[in-house]
Amino acid sequence: MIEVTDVSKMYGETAALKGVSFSAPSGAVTGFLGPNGAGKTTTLRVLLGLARPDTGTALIDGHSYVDLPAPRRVVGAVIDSMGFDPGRTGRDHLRVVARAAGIARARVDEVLGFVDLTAAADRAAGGYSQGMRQRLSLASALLGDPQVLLLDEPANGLDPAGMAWLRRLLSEWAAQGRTVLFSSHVLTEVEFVADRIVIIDRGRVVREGAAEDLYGSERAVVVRSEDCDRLERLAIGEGWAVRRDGADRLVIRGATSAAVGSAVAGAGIALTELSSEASTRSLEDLFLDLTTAEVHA
Amino acid sequence: MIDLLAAEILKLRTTRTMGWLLLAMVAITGLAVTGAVVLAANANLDLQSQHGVRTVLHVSASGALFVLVLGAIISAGEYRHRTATDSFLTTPRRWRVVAAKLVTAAGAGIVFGALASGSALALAAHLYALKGYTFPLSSSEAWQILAGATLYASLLGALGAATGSLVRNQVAVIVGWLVWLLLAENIVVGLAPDIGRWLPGAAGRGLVMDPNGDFLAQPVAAVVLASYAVAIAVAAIVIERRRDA
Repeated sequence: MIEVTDVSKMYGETAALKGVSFSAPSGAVTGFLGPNGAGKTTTLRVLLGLARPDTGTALIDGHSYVDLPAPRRVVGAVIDSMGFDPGRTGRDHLRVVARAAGIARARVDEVLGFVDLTAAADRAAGGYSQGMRQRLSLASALLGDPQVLLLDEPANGLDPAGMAWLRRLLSEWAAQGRTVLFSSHVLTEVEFVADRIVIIDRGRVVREGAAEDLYGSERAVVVRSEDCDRLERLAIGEGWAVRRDGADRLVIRGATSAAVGSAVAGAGIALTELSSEASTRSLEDLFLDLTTAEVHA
Repeated sequence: MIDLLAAEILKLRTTRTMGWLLLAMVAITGLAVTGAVVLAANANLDLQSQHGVRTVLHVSASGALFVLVLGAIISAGEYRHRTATDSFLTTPRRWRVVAAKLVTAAGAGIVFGALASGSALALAAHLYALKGYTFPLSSSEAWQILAGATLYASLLGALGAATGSLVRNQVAVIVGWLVWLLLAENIVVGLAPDIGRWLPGAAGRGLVMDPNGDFLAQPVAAVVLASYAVAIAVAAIVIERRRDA
């Protein structure tokens, strides 16, 4: 369980965090979303005791990080500012971390196997690809078999197979009753795996809640027909929210595709397409509405 | 704390840096001792006299700067390779990290210093024999100098580690200390010798019983140099407590 309460942090004249509050319960994957520079990394650094908040508290299972007697066994973290000595092998890097944290050496081989780095473990980390570095960071986070995972942009550098693997890992961990909080600025990553969403923008949490409450209900039904005018009148008559998109395309909200299908069949309108619009779109809408993210073409 | 120290030593053992620095230190020591014997012999100095032994052996600390470099790498090197975050995540009480690095660097310095002093002694004995002298192994002063040189290496290691924790930039630490020890301090010593002898470089020369000048007595010099290391480490800890990692 992670509880961030009213955390503010100034860097010189710039307010990085302005009273950030949210929670990430155990047994769930919480996605921490925000545009670049919104304060995601700063928040995670405060949680990890790496940055000091000016006000507020950031607690992990009721304790601030610096008060945890064996933090590596409670919290596993991957954040951007972690690196490796390029002359040290991946295995030795993990041995060093394990030694300092008082973790048994056998655990090093376990996590190496778990992140699929065994074959490269005895090569110098300086020669690792970005994906391998990311997996080594994850291995380091998992060493202490922690109950809480804090990951800052964990998908950076992972290939599609690595991404799928990571998503499975996060879901499994949450299913075991552990707490997962991960930040991302890539909406699809969050959408696929997060049970809960926290959206931060310019140092403030602008939305927090269960994923389905935030955007799941906004799933839209898309229909195409040569007879789109009649279709539109029908949908309005049913009391649905309708948006005409081009000459033959209609986006309907507030109805299931089954309801739309049977209404259309009843009216005898021929359709060329009936589909449920991917919810990515609506998380994206939500995100763009709530934040000041730049839209890149 | 035992775990932390073991981890610091493991860090040193798992890269090649330490081996190269040790090799460089022993090589420099050898060159310095050879040079000192040749110069002293050419100047018709009695190599077996107390002054002769001091002249030859005090240079066995010449390579100690490499331990300072090692100390800087132990602490500030973590910022260069961005492994400091990992250290602070494992040990959020940062004074422990600073202290562990200080102790590790000082310990490595003792090992380095002992190896360099041992090679200096062996080489000096060999060169004495070549020149037709017998090295006075029974001279307590010789052993004092070698112990001083070992301690000097240890304390330079501690200074390097402490300064590295404070400054977090290993190049700046190394360049800064080189400029101070080889250049700036000599100017201060020249201008104000009474103050100058209490400075780190001059204290080091007292520690190795350098015969060329009026330096602090060995025990005082040791305390002075250790105090610098501790003072800088305390400053690093105080600042580290407020600083973001």
